[in-house]
Amino acid sequence: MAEIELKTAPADFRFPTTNQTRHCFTRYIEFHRCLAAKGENSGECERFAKYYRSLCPGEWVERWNEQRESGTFPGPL
Amino acid sequence: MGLLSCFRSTVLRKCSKGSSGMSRFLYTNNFQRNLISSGGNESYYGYFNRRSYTSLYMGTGTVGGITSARIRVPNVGCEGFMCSSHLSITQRNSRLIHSTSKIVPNSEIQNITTEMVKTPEVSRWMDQVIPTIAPCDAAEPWQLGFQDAATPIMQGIIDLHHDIFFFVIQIGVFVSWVLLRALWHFRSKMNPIPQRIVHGTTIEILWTIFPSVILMFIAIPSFALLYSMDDIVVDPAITIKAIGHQWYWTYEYSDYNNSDEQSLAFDSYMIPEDDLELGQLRLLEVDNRVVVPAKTHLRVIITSADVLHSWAVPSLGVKCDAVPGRLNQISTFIQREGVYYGQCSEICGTNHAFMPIVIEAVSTKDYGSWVSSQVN
Repeated sequence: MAEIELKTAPADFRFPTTNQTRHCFTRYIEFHRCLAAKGENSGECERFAKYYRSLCPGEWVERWNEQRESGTFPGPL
Repeated sequence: MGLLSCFRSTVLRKCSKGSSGMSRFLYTNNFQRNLISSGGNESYYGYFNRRSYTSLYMGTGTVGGITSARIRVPNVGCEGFMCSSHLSITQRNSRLIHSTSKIVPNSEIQNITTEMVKTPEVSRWMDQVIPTIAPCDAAEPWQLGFQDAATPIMQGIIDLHHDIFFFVIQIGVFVSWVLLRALWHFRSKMNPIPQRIVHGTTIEILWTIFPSVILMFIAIPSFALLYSMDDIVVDPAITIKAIGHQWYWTYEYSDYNNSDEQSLAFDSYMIPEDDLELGQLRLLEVDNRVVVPAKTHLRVIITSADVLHSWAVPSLGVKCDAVPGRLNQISTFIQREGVYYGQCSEICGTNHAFMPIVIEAVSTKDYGSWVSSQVN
């Protein structure tokens, strides 16, 4: 069995309010910007991936992935 | 004022509540009459188990008659410490409730209730000293006040309510006194010709300054508690996503993913009334519970997939709207292990009353076992 580590996305002072929609969106964009800058095989981007997976619902991530593949993602990647 | 009393001992408060509950049970004739007439039906077991009287009597040994009765309370879900022992063997999306008892014949129940009526005074005194602490947090039948607090925020809410209620009673009594006195002393029989009072500078100053001072005494602890709920400063250890659907909740634990597809996600449906087992609560039990570690900072992200819902658990003092397209965040810190019940609190359609929330707070080790069994 893999060891379970109690760790999640930290609190971000850019998003101090109850509304965390932009926090999830921003973490997702940060991950893909990191991929574009450092390449797909780099291990440094895994940290950002864990952040957006913790914050974003699965359905949102699935829809955003489809939009990225079809080129209609609205964010600044 | 309200916040400082947050740090009062919740165990002390709970002990006193348990004691009053016990004495209420023993001294009320209606309960004895109802228990004797109820025979072996479910409500007897449910009520009995929720108060955990059996374990207390068997433990002390002061009442020999009840000890020899050998009644066994069903091992149902609302006892958190029993459920935690099952967590390591729980399979994915399986029910966490295991009923291992058999139904006791009516004659034994009759004997038990008869023995309870004859409880000697020594045992009653012992019950006051060693009260029972109920491990299950759900509203009692016709409960009007707050449920037991499990978080510092809920403790603060209860204390703030008590503080404000003190002012409310005082102001209500004083204003009623002034009103009745005016009605009495200025009635037409005593004053045929009404007076023409134009102005009074002193009383104008008084009834402007005093309400302001009272409002300040109410507002300062209220604002302190309100802003302490926004504890963005503490980094949480766990993030749980609660997604409202018509008419169930979906929970996602995504801290342990290695890809976008692999996710610990499950739906939480209410157990229908026909499928309830002995001791389970009507309209409150679910098939898959939210398992969280106690004494750990949690982040719950609440959203909806269709219409507005509201994720509310009274014992934790949390209530947050689930809005489609928006992620609302609440932070909480559960201080004791147990099972806490809540319900959807925003009208969301026909089955709004049938989408409950059950949170089981366990130790960190048991939580790790549960996650390991779910993820792998």
